[in-house]
Amino acid sequence: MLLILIILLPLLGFAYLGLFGKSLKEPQPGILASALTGISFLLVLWGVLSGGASWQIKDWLPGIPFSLLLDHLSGYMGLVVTGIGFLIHVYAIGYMHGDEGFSRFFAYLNFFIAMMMTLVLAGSYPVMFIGWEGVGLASFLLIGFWYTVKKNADSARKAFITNRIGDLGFLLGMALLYGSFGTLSIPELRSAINGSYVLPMGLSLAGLLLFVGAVGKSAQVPLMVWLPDAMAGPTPVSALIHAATMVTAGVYLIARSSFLYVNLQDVSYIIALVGITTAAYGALSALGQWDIKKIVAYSTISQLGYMFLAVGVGAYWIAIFHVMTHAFYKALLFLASGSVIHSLDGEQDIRKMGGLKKYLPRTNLHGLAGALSLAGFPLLAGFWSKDAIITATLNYPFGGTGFYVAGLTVALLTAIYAMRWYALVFLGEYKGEGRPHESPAVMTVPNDVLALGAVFAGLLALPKPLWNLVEPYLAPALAHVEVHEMSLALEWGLITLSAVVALVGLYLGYAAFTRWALPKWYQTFQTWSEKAFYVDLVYNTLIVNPLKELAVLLDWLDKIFDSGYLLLASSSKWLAEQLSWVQAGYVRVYGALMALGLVVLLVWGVLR
Amino acid sequence: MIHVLIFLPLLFGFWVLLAPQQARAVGLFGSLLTLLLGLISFGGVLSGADYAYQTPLLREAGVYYAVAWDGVGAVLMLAVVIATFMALLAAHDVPPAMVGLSLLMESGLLGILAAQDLLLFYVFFEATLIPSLLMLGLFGGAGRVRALIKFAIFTLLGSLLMLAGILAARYLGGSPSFLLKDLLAHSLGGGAGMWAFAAFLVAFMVKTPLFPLHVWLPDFHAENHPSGLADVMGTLYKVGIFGLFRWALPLFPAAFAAFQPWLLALAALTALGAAWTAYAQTEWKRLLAYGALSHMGIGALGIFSGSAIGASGAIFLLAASAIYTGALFLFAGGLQRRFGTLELRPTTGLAKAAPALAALGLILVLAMVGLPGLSGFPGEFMNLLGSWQASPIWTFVAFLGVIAAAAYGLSAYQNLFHNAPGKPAADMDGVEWQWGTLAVLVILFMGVYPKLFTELIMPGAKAFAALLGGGQ
Amino acid sequence: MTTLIILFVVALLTTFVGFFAPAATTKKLTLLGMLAALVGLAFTWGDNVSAFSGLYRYDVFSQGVTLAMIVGALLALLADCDFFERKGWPAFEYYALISFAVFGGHVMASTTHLGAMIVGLEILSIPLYALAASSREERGYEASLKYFLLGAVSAAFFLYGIALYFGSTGSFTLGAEGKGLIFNAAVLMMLAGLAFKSALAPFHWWTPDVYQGSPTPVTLFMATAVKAAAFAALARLVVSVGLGGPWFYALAAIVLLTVFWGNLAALVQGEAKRVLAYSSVAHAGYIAVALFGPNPAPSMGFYLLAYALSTGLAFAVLAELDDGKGVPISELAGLWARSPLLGLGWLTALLSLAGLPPLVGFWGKYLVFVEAAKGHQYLIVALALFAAVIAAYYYLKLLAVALFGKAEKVKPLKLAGSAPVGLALGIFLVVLLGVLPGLTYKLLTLASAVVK
Repeated sequence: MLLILIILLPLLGFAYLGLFGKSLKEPQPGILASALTGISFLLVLWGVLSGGASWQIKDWLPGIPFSLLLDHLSGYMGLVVTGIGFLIHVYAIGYMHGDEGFSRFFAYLNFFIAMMMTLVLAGSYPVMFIGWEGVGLASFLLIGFWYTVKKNADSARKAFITNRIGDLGFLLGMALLYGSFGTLSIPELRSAINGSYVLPMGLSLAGLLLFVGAVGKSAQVPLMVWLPDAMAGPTPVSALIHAATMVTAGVYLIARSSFLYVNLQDVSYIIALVGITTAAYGALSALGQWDIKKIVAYSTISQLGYMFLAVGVGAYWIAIFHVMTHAFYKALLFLASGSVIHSLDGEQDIRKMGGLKKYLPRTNLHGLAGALSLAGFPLLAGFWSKDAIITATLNYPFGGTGFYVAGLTVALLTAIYAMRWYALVFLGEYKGEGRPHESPAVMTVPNDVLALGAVFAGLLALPKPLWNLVEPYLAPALAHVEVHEMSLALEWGLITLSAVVALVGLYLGYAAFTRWALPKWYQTFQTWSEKAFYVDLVYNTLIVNPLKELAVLLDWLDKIFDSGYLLLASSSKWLAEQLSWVQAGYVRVYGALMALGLVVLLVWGVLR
Repeated sequence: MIHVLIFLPLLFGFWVLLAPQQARAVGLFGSLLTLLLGLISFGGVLSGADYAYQTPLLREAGVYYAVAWDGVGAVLMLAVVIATFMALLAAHDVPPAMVGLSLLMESGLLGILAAQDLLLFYVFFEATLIPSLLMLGLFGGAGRVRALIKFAIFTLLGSLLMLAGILAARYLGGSPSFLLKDLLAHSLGGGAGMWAFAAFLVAFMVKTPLFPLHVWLPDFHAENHPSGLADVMGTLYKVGIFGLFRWALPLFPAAFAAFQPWLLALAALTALGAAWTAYAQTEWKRLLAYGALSHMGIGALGIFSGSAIGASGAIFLLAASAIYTGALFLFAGGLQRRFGTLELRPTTGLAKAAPALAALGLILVLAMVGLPGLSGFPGEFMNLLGSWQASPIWTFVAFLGVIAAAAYGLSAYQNLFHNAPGKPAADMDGVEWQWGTLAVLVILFMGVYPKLFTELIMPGAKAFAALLGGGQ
Repeated sequence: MTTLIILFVVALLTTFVGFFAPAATTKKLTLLGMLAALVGLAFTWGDNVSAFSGLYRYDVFSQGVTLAMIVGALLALLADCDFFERKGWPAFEYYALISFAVFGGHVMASTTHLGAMIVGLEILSIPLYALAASSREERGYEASLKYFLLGAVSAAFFLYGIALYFGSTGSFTLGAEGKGLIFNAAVLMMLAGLAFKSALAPFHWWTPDVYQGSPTPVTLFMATAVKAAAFAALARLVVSVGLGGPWFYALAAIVLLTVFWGNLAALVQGEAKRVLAYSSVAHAGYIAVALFGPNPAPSMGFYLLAYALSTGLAFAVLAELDDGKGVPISELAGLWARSPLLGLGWLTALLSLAGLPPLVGFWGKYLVFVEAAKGHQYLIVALALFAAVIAAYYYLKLLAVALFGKAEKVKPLKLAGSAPVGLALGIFLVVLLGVLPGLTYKLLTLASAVVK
């Protein structure tokens, strides 16, 4: 009952605000929605502390229960979702101040929380899929929140359709698992797979298909194109859905299915490969962006790539750990950006910013904490989790040195673009017009909390011989993985290396974008990076437009078919006209024809 | 009880036709009464009541008036009575005769679902055509006669061939009557079975419809009365999947086994092709027609999988789509009323002026897109699980249509509601609130708690799968 | 015997009373007479008697066919026609001739003796030649003459057939043992002669021209009663010789040629009576499908009745519209608006002809196809059903024009005299027997086989 309540509360909030929100005065919908999310957080916490829970309706679909499950993994994830969700709800009360759709916004946010919690608490894949699609819908609604602008509406649709491609993979993966095991309940599948000596054929395909779903939802290469466009939504949405929670659902799915992937080395390798590719692509694209949110968006793609690298090499707990630290610092970065945008009355171009340190002291601190944590500044949250991932490529079963080198290189890039972001926004001279003003407390206080998380959350899991709370906590819910033990000296050496890389990157970023004149080749790179390497253009030309043409062609073919039938019909008419030609009205003809008929009958009948 | 349920709408239909002054009140009352009876019967079936009845209709020829509600019939019956009531509720500005004809059709549809005698089934199947034709012919658009003849010729082509198949099934199979149980006991195999099955197939492929016998459908919807009432009834009349489930496949399991790979391909191509064609449509009703066609392709895939879960998915899909497709046609009727056209124009931006209508439209479109939690999903999902076991490749092809569904559904929706506001229009009026609420409640209930229906469908689906020699 | 006597008395009475009383009285008398014949039928239903040393055979089959004929005659009598009435038509001869024709038809249907059969045939035919010309119009004369000339040819076929039959078997009674070339030729020639009367291809040529040229009530009568009588004789012939001979293929060829020719040719006609004429040809083909079954009598009887009702109803509607120049299809437009009763009649009639349940035409089709299915002639069934799809097209077109077309003149139509009664009766029966086909089919199955 507890579990259904966690989902139901925000859902009721959605229903109430959706139906009657118009009649509430401004802060009320925000307070109501925040309160419900807060209560959900407390309920999750209570559930976690009381050691988990489960709930189900048997035979919701034939042989498929509707089951919810609160174990260590879903509890951990649920706390991140509702916790960060609560903070962002509160922030949004300030951010959305004065918007026409104030209550609608909170209705959607509550709907998102409900669906995300369905996804997280799901005890079987179909239930997870409900949440999966539900958050997709929430994302659609919130990206297109300001739907009167065509670009926003188009971005929303693009997100939904791209996600659908992934969802198809999820669906087919479920079909395959159901075909092989006759069940889709996660605990049952887990014991079935753990208990079988010979795994059924096609299990790799199932793993791959589920991963396709994750690729769509988590904006991995090649389905990453929707996420930058999703920035069309209000900034709290970008923070909540497109950074902290929804986009990590793919990682969560793989971690949830770790019992499956731990047996699939080939698929895991592909996952890692996709992950590191995405990480590199995201980082390279982030470097050239001029939109304050787009930088953070590409950074999110890149960071999600890290998480997939982690699950790909088998370091499931590290991925989930990174989900949390990332949620803190990325939500912080977005909300800080939002604060900046808010104070500049909607300006998003960083070329028209600069020097905001002076005007927005609190926000400056938030931005700095977020950027440094993202860059992997030693001892901050992002440093510990990212370093854990990079190191894991060496000692986890499916890893490799190639992954390590690539991971480290991307870390360098990350530090550079993080610094670029911070430097161009907050340092130097203010280049815009108008008077920036600091945001109200309702926006800055949640950021304070997030900043604390971005700085200290990493302390939950430190390398040996220091303490690690996360790994043992998650262990019962994840697959058991044999790790090559690494000597402490080597491990700490690598940690130092990665700290040095981060510092070098930060310096490069600071120096390059505030002091140096950039060389010619970088200008070229800048253009390519700004356009995200023209992937959208390529997709549009090679896939989207041909498909649109195909639709027209099919419609045309349909008409051809139609005329084919018509031709058939008119041919019988033609035949009929020939027949009636015989029927000319002359008795002599009729008589002759009758006689002829008789003769034929007789000849045939008698001579046979 | 069962006879009252089947023939009550007929009675009210004639009443409306003969005394058209109070058409709306009488029609609503009649369909409400039918709805209540339907609910009671549904409850009865849930609690295990037996409504079976049979008496000779043409004793000398072995034709019986034999009716019953089994689980599958009861679920679809509920969909029919709800959809009819909803449609009559919504269509408040239609000519009185349309109300009467709709009620006549409702009777025919209930008969189709209840019939346990093949010839009785055929009689209801064909008889329902008459009011449907009249509705199209009397109240359709400019191209109605062409659409009508196309619709009728395809239907009759199928059903007359099926009549030959019916005769062969009985007289070659050696069954003493046309009763389902007798026919099942005297299944016709061999070459004759193939031909007879093919005849049934044509009939039900027209009425599913499936490529390439679907061409009547878009014109049928595009030319029908703009209110959407005729479209709802027409949607309900697409009983091909039910016919395949109840009659064609169980009667000719051997022939079906031989045809199966081709049928799966046909269903999959229908699902994908129609979804993609829907994207190119520039008119609401045509878009909905192709969208519904695509769904029927998916449903047929589930049936042709021959598995219990696939078949129950197909039946569920049929029941669910009766409501949401019907509601979408009624929704389109509302657009026609507002704008005088059904063209999909890119700059209406209606959500500002009509937020409630936008919400209704979104829920309906999403149900069609198959969003989990709404009624479109459980059926689609069960179809997927079933058809994957029969053919992963064709399942993949068919479900590519799911992506296309998002594309055409959301494009159409956004064309109407999003972008910069254009000509403003009124938000939902009282009548729209009434039927909209009903539709949304049903869609949500079926999506959230499909168990109520699947539990009724499953025994029939299992028997179906067992007859076809399949397991789960 | 009772029925024979009643019909004979009616024929005589109407002939003589006509000299002294106005036409209206004769009409009432004829109607009464037909009703009396119905009562006679009802009281003797199920009898199986033979009289005049085997010349007259009164069995369930002849009763069924006579029922269909009387229904056709009643509809023809009730179908008053405003246009002709203003021209003083029909005179009392009309009623007398119809009475004689029914009597002739009854004789033809109630005998297994070829001599009696040809007598019945001629008693049936000669009044028709006169009836066709009874409107005293150019077109009527042409129709009459064509019918007469071609009828003479067919009578010759039939007579030669009888002669050969007697030559090879030494008997004039159907069912005599016989084989060999002469016997085969005899059967085929008689087949051809009867095929003419029942409008089977390729002996159907007269049908469209005569149907179109005759006054519509006369056409109605030809399409219903005459066809019934002709088929009765045909059925007795085919059943008596069995399906084993070379005539099996001849019959199959005739049936398929008929359904396709009739339906295809109907597609391109521009005049409603002509369409229905071709439709009548096609229906003759369907009726003949029953001949392939082991026991064609009941289903054939039912089909004849169903067809008499449906096509009778259709012609009754056209009779109201006929202004002596036929009924071009475009003139049907707005029928519903001009007279709902005519619209409804047209709707039921055409849907019944198209074979849609729950109308009586469906059961007719169903029963004859079942009969052929029992004889395992599935190919014929399937092909004939396929032809029915073509038929649906022109029925729907006629329907669509009448019901859904835009009318140019929406002048309300006043129905003449007894027409509403006939129309209402027709509609009622088409629907009633459609919903409860068992009512009459039960009667037809009382005794089984056609008597040999």
